Amino acid sequence: MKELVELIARSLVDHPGEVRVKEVEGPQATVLELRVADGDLGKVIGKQGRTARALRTVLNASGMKLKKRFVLEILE
Amino acid sequence: MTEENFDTLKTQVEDFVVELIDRSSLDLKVIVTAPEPETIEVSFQGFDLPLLLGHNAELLDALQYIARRAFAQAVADGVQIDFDAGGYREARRQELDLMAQKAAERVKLTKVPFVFDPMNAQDRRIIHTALVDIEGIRTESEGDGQTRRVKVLPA
Repeated sequence: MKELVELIARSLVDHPGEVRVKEVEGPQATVLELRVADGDLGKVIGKQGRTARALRTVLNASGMKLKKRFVLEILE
Repeated sequence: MTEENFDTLKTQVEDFVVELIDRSSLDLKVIVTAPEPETIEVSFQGFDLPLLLGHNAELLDALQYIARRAFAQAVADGVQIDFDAGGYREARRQELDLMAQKAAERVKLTKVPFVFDPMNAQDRRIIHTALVDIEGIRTESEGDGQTRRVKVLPA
């Protein structure tokens, strides 16, 4: 799932080389921590959080297929 | 955009969406065409079509949004990137058209405003367009972001 978030994030930002995703397994869900370059934060969040919401929609669909729960956290 | 650049872009969009679907573990086949100049249409077939089209095609719209952002420069240059599956867009347009006509008749009869459920910009536009020439009523949008909705009022 890390690879999915990396692909999407890299496609959106100005500094794809600085995209980092860490997968943290929790008891209920897997948390995906996304870090991007400072100036790229808006690119992965979007106006009124629209891009982040689209990302979460894709993650949820993928989670349904894999019967797992994924939570996206965008870190500053 | 030159024909050559457009073809390159089309291939890039296709590669991106194929990889996106692959990494999402979704069972979908990706078909990319150019039905009109400067227009890239991405459509899907396969087992996970219901997942793609559930909740008013939330996933289809999310993928379309991501692709448009990923190729934002091309979109700014006038290229259209449209996602569809199983004739969803046309079926949705017909459904919204019918809803619009019913709302208009009701408002004309009762003179009471009718407010639709929140919709995305694309769907709201279909409602406004469907009712633009109907006399005795007018439409406007109210609310912000996710809760923005169309209102039909007596003229």
